[in-house]
Amino acid sequence: MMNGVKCLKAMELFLEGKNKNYALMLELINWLYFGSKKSLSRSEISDMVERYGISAEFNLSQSLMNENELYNLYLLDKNIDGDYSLHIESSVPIQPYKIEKQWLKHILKNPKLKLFLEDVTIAKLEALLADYDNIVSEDALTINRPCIQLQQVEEGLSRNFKLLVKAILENKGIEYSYTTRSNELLQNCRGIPYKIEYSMKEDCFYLISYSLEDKRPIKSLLSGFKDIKLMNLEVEYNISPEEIQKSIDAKKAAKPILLRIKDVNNTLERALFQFSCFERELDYIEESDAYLLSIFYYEFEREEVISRIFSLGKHAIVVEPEDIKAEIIKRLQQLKEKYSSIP
Amino acid sequence: MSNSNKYGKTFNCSVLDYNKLRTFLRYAFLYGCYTKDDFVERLNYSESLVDKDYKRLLSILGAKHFKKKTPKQTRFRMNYNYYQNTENYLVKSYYAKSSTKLQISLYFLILQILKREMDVNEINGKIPTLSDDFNIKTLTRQLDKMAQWDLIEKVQHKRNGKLYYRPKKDFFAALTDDELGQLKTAVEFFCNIEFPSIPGYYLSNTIEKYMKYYREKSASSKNIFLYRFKNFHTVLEEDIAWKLLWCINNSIEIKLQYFFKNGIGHKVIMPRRLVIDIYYGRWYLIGSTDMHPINIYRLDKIIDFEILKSSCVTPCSMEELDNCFRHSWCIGTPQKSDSPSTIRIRFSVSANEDLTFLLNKVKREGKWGTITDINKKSFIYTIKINDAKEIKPWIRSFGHYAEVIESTLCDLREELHDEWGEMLESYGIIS
Repeated sequence: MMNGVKCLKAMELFLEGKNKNYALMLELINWLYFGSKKSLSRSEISDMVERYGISAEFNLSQSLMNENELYNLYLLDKNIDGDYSLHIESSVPIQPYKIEKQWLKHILKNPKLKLFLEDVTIAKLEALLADYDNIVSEDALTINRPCIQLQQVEEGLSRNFKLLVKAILENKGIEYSYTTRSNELLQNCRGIPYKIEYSMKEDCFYLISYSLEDKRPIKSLLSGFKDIKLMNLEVEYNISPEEIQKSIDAKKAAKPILLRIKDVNNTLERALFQFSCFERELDYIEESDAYLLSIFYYEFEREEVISRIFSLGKHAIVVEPEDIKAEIIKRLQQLKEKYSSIP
Repeated sequence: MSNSNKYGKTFNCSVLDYNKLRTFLRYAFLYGCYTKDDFVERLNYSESLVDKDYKRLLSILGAKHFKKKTPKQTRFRMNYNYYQNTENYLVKSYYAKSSTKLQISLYFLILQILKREMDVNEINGKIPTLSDDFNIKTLTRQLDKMAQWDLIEKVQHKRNGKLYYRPKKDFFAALTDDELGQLKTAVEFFCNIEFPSIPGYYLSNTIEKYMKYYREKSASSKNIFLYRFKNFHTVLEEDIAWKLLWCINNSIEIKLQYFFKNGIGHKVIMPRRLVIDIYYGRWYLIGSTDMHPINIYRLDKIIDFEILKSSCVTPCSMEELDNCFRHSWCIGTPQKSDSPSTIRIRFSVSANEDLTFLLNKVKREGKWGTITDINKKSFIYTIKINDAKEIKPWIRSFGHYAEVIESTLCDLREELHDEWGEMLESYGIIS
């Protein structure tokens, strides 16, 4: 039987080879090898260590310069001019670790991969990974997603996706037609793509863009786009990402929703887990032995937040603002009426 | 000794064991309401450990991800702002494993030296004089570790049985520059939406560095994607999850150290399956014990585990496992009888609303439930489910759009009727 502990070590996710020190060494060695300047000064070494956020108290610069006896690294040699060059004149090859290859094998199964890679590339990767174990099989791991997942990528979605990614990468605008959810066809639309948003809850893609007609940011389902053409942005249409970001920020609700939660039946834990993808703050109120959760949200997510509050049940009550509280009371009254009558 | 490293042979404030980081991070990120006193009194930390863990995490993640709140005491609280910053900064905690000076030296010297097949003696001959604790056994251990990581190859010649080491072939050589760029974008996307995810973040970095040095082409640093309703904290349990996956795949029995309801305890189990609930971002382990074939454990309550050489537990079969969870909304097991309960729900909209959005939402989220009796303003949804309690939050999330008509094995309608009444009373409305 294999030595269980040794094999487990090889399977670890938390690896010293991925820590900041290693990243710094890799850059240092390969920069020296491939760069035109074959040496680094003392201050350049110290600057690099600082850039990696490694505290001076750990004397890593000194270890690199072999001036930290007992902890010298001997990867560099000191030259006559006082600068430092590689001890071994060779680069560091860059290889994915086994766990990275095993992960890549896992995602090759995902139909959405065809949005990014051509079939020929996927085939190359399948061949490269043929001998690696399927670590993340369906027997070993069940991923309980909030909605059914896309099983096949349609040609139209794939084409739209690649065009929009290209537009964002190349800072181009787009001209397009769009079919709304109510089947209305909008033609001759123009916009500046900002980001592609993937919704974990719906397994679908939206484009966040700046509409040149409406002069505001909009969010549109990728599946609704037709006839996308890339266009160069004229000076007067060149809205910066920061301006688009500002327009989105303007949609943030002026005040957060304050939710009073009693830690009964795991309500607090459920609240924290499901609101972890929202900006929030939690405080404990000793006098009432309850917690106060402030949820910061955007106006266009109001319904989603209310839906999540409802899911928490009777131990999570909205304290403020009044309009949200009133809305919840109104819906509760409708529910009480429904449940009081014969189904 | 003024220049000596006060942490001995290790560099910076990193840690040997990820368990030392995840608990503090979980409390700071998910809760964010605890002061140092709370950590000491409620969460069983020592005072010095709170300070040490906080200082360590400030260094590893950066101060900008922490916010403090006065007036009384610092609360350890972390930032989250979806549109401002999509980066899951909790991933950075995985770049903080400690290593010794010798490990770092040998790692890079080996990769620089090993350009063709060599035995350990030839490699040793090219290593500069290192510390007193370096010897050929240390070198062999490091070489074997790097071979297990798949960074180099270890081969045994059939003729003489001798062991050699050689460099791996360039993994990315077969991919063109364009394909590599597309792969990087794909990996960046999938490490944010797939589970586990940490190896994907590692791979994204690997591709970026490879392109920089070996293709002289910088990968685009432009952030194309946003990921709505993504939970950052799922990464905190991935260290344990990945090890458990190995145990599951190799049928290895383990001894869990776990936070049970009545305190910390130990349990010998045979791990059988992991489950991750994406909506809440919670991981579960299903395992067999000598008392019961199917038990469920939360990964965030696993303190640690050790591998056992023995094999005392009879594991449940895959068929038993599949049958048990066939009608499970997440991890609910069959309740009173072995039959699931059947729940019927009427979904409806008001006169001035369109049914389409509601119908599509239930179709998307309703799992194996069936939809019937569709008319302009309502439809019926029926589902067989192991534990009705599991589906209650989902039903509640629809608010006034959903009405439970009937349920078997439990009176869900009555339960919800009482709950809505109690909620109204909490708002000061007498129903």
